[in-house]
Amino acid sequence: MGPLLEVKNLQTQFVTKEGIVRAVNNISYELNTGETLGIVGESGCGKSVGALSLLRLIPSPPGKIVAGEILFDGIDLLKVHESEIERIRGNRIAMIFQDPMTSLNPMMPIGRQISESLELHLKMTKKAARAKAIELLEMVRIPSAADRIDDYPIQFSGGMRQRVMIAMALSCNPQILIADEPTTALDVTIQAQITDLVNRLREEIGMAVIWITHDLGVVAGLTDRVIVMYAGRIVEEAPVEELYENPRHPYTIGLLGSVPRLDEERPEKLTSIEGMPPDMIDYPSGCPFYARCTFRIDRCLESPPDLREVGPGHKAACIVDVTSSTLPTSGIS
Amino acid sequence: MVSKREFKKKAALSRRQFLKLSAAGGGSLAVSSGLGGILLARSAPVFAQGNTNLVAAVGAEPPSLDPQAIEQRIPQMITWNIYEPLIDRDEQGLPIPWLAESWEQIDDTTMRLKLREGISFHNGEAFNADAAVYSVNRIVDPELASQWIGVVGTIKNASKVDDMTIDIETHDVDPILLGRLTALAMMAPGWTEEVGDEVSSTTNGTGAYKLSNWHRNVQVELESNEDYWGGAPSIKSATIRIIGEDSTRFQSVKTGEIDIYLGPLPDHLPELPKFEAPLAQEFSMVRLSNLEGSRIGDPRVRQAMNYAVDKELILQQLHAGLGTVSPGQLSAPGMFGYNPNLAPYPYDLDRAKSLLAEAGAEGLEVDYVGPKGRYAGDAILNQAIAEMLEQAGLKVNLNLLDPQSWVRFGDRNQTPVPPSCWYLVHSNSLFDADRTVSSYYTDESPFSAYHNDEIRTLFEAGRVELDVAEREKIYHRVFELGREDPPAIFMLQLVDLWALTERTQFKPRADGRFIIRTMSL
Amino acid sequence: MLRLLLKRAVHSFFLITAVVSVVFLTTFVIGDPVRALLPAETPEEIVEKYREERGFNRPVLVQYIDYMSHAFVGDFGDSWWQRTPALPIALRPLPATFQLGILAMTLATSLGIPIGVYAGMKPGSWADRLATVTSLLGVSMPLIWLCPMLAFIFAVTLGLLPTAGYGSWQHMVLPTIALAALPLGRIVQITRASIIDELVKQYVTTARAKGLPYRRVLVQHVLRNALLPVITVSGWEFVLVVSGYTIIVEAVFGWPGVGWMLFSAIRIRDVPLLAATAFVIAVVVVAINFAIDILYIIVNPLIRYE
Repeated sequence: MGPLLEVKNLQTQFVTKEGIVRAVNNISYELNTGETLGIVGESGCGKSVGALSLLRLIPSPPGKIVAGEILFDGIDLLKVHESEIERIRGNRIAMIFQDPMTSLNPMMPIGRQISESLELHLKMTKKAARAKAIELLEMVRIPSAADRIDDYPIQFSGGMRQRVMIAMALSCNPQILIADEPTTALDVTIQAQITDLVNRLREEIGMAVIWITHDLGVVAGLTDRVIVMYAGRIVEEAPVEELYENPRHPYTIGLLGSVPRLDEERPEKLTSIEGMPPDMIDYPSGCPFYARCTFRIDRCLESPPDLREVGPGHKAACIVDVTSSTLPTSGIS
Repeated sequence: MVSKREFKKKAALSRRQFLKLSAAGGGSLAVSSGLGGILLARSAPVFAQGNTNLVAAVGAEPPSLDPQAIEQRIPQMITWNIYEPLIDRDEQGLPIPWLAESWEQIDDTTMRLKLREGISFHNGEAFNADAAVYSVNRIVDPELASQWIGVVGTIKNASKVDDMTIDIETHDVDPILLGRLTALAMMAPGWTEEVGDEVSSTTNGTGAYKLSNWHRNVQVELESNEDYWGGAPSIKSATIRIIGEDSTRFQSVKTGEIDIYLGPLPDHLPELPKFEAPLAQEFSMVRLSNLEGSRIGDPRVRQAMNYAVDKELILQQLHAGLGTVSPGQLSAPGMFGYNPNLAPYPYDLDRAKSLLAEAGAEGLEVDYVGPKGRYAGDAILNQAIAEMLEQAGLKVNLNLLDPQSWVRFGDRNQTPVPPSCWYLVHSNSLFDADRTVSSYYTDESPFSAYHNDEIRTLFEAGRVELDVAEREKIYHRVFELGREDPPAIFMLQLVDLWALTERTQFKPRADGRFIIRTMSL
Repeated sequence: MLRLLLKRAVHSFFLITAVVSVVFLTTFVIGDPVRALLPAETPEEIVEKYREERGFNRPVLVQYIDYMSHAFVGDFGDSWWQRTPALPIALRPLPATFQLGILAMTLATSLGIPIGVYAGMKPGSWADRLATVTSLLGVSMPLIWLCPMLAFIFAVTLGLLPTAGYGSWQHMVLPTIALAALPLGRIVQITRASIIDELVKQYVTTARAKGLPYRRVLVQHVLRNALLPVITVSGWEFVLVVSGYTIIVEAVFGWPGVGWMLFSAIRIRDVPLLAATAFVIAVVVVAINFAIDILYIIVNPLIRYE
């Protein structure tokens, strides 16, 4: 059986006064049934835009998906009619977002917000949908679900709101859940609760999850495979353990090096990656990481490197054969 | 957040929403109109005209239609079509028999009047001596607090002589009683007592029209009295609409929605379909003070002031040429006492200067108080007069005040030392010199600032002189003296302005009354 | 919630009291009110008689207390001009004003909200620009110019409608349009801004991510939230219509409503009638505000939890 979702050469751009922002610059990856894929990268690397592109939720002026294919269950999501995509959204592919306070309609009871999808996609009656909504709330461990079904988002805490969002997203048993930084706005203990919840539900329902985050710690315990994005491109892709043990891209190495680890001796100082991400309008012609790379060579300027196989299921977009033990080519640190 | 394809959907949505909301809007419109229609069930739409319906417009709602209580011009435009007096005025303004056929002065303070037969009020009550006596006594009754008291206050009471004859007794000798009676409306005793307070909102007169409907704040509707003793009028119905804004009245007469209104702005005249500008009993003047403390006590100074003002110019420039220059007196042909031998003061700046020099008054400072916003264009007018006086060599301290304050300066009770100059427009509805003389040629009234012994003596004689010819001579002399020892700068006799549509045939009366039965369309 | 309403009621009471007091005070600012009433040449004795009759020779404070204690029970005295009780006179033209006012507001909202929504959904488009320009025009249009202009174009030049008056639906058209102009402009502006604000909010994306068609998102989610400020603005505009714009519109079009009554009362300096009319208008304003407050509480569930 082939992959559940195939993204091929996706390019998404935004037209601004200063020029065209190439937010997603030719990414390709696959997602298999039941798999949890993590997408990591710093702010502005295009991970959220990439996720929104999957469901065609890019605001149409000024944004536009200019190229690529997104194959889901044999259909190219980028080519179908709007009504077709609407049937898929919230139904077969669901999405949850970062800030649950603004992500929920503050003036609508949460019960209604959940029932909406049920009535729409599963054609349930109001009564049935309401009952199911209560069930869903119980599933996400909202206490006294039946009493709280008509409450407004403002009456819930941050963590509970996120649970409601999850309940909403999972209401129609989607095949894929896209989670765009769902725990970033929550504190650490709640974070753990939410990730546990998602994990558990994932096992129960058997859905695939794309988990987008900038937090490497979250990714470690949660995902099967990880994609690292930088400046709108994928720079490394590997099973999670492999990535942590054997990063093969200078950016990933830098990222991992900057994360404090409990199981190691405390380093004198945390290594950080010098410099800033490139200008997304005036996009560099060579490797986007060149300016900050400690392993760079002149040839890196010629063209952006393709992903090349560096191990089983492990790809990196670097022409230099880099490992964590490779010495930097220049004295930049 | 919108793609091009979604755009069309939104358009549809908005249209649908629009329709939904418009349906609600349309529904409200229908309901409101329905309500409006119910509220106005009895009124026909006004903006389509009938051929025998006259539409007039006035600027304010009449407070009351009691013809004896209120003396304002707007209610009178309505009430003199419904009610009638014993005596009326002819085209020249002279008293003529009306509901009274004839009269006779039987002693110094009593006049006997014989009433016209065969007249009844709209409700059927007969017009007879009982009605006449009742009406006269009612208007002078202090309980009524009639605004007419200044005009008819000399009357003591009336008494019945026989069914069609009455006697009217005055407190003192009153040579102008006839003129006063033109202001006294005849009312039906039975009806008036019966309706009590309703007398202000319902009517019952002997006139050519009856009140058919009074739509508060909107309009008053009159219908013809087909049994009118003078013959049914040609205009069968009239509507007096209340339109507050002058510009709106102006637009309405242009579209033909209204046929006539009083007082268009002079600027509007060229665009009116038609207008009439009859001379009114209104005299503009600058009252001059010669009382103690006045700087212009010397008659030569006041004569000079009369020479210094170019009244013709002011007439042409500021009054659109409508009116005439007063001939050296506050009177005009048609007013009793008018002296036809007096000429107006011509504009003669040199004469003015030399008179001032003679009196040693070059550079004399004079106070001039004028109104601002009381009469049309009054500020500019007074400024012009003041400038002309300055050209003759006087120094004028011009003070243009709001109507409240301006009035205060003219009233000697409030300003014991009157200003040298005080502008006003004198109105004389009695058509008799007594009114004018008592107000401005003697210091009898608080609004006068002038004294002249000879005139004073003449005035007192004229007050009690019943012989018409003798009396006339007295006033001729008064005005003659007054021209040489001027109590004022004699300015202009003003006009009433009536705006009309083409189809309206209207011959204005000398007394400015609005009488529909004399009009035709 | 009850406390809120009670607070509003007390506040309203003080407002009305203040309005009536101010009217009372103005009669002393304009000069001697007795002399203002009578023709200039009235003899002094009659002036004094009037003064006594009307109680103007009493100390101001006494007059004020007397006045307020009567006003409290709805007795504003007799109109000096009509010599019958002032309050009934002031109340009579109220239905006429409401006719126009309600019609105008209905027009303003039923046109303004869809236009605002449309413009807000497509900012920068020609439709949006048109809406913005016309709403600006509507808002900045001086009524004292607009009214005669409308009359001039439609009545005098085209002869389609009457210039003034009352009595048929044709008489209602121009005054309604004039009254609706400013509210329409403002409602378009506020709706547009509100929609633009709402559309960029995260929950809209969430709703779409659930697969809701755009139409549904707009109506069920966005509109409800976006219309909240529109309700308050509409209420406010209604207040302005009844207490402000109506004075000019009624005067120019000869429409017999409370605005016209107020204008007349001021012009002839009939203090009891002026006070009664000001009182009536104040009560209407307060009532509308009250109703809007209640409506807002009903429509916005969050108020109860704040």
